[in-house]
Order: sequence, then C-alpha cells, then structure tokens
Amino acid sequence: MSKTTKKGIQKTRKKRKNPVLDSSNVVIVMHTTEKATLFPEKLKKANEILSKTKFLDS
Amino acid sequence: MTKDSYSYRRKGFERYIFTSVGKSRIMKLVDFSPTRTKNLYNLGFGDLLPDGSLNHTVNSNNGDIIKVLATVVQIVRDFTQQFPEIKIFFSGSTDERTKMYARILRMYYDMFREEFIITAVIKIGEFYDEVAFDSQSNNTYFAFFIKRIN
Repeated sequence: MSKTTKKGIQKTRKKRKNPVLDSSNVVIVMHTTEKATLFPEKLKKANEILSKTKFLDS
Repeated sequence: MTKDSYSYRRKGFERYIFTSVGKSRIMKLVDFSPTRTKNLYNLGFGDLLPDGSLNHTVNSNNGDIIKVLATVVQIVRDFTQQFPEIKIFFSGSTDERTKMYARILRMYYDMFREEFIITAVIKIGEFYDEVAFDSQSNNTYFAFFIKRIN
C-alpha cells in the first residue's frame, strides 16, 4: 500500500468520525397522524381503540 | 335530520366550521384527522370558546342539538362524497354522549343506511370488535364507523 493511498484512507475515516451536524441538514419526518389536529385527545383515544380493534374486513 | 341544518364553511380539506344559533351563538368545529389506520379518519367535533380554545366535552345546552347534529351529518355527507374511500370513526367524549349518538343512529338508521355502511365497536375484555350496527338491539357501543356506499 502506497503512502498516498494510506493517507487517503485516513482522511476518509476522519470524516466519518467527525460528521458535521447542524440544523440546516436535519430533516424531520412526521407521521401523518402527528399532523396538527384540533382534537388531539380524541385522536389519541381513537388510535388506542383502533389499535385493539378486530375489523370486520380483516 | 336532513332538512333543518346550519350552513357551514369548509376550511382546508379536512375542517368545517358553522355557528349554532340558540340561546347564544356558538362556533362549532368539525375536524377529520387521519388515524394510524389507512383510510380511516377520526371525526372530532367541539365548540370554539370565546378565549379561542376548543372544547369537545362542553355541553353547551344551546337548545338546538338536533339542528347541530343534522349539520354534522351534512358535513359527513360532504366529506365522504369527496373522499368515498375514507371510513369515518367517531365516539362521544363521554359515555352519555356516545349513547346519544347510538340513539340518533337507531332513530335515523333507515335513512342513513341508504347512503352509508354503519358499523360499531363493542368491547370484549381488553379488546374491541367491529360489528354490524344493529338498530333494534340495546347493545352498548363504544364507537361507530361510517363509510359511504360507493
């Protein structure tokens, strides 16, 4: 392995070890159920019931 | 149930607003929110209070409950006409209110079933079952589903 190649590998490893994180590259993915609803308590209750419900077409 | 209802305005694709005019004027909001189950939306319904907050448990006693509920039915009609694939889930904010919804569904079942498939939720132990809505029974229902007949 040549000296140049070794340096290249070291440089790549260094980049992975120190990733640059700032607010500009953070993407927030929201589930559709977490969208703004006027009645969050009712939606929460609905999801609780539905998660334990056996549907007719299932 | 269909003749005497309030006019309403639509806000976005999932929200409606109307004013109840009885002993006082109360703004009512109806909101359809997607649940974690595909094509199943929760119907939220409540009062817009003077301070700008919303209350879905308040009993406004405005003297026009039939007209208010007739308006909600019209809104469900409007929403499901546009999105016939969506099934609506709803329950009362209290047991008493859920019982009232069951009474209304029983009373107007012959009319509703011409447009909608109506099913209900019963509790079995820790779990729930969706069952056909029986207008002749005195079953205790915990919630209801409505889906437009395509």
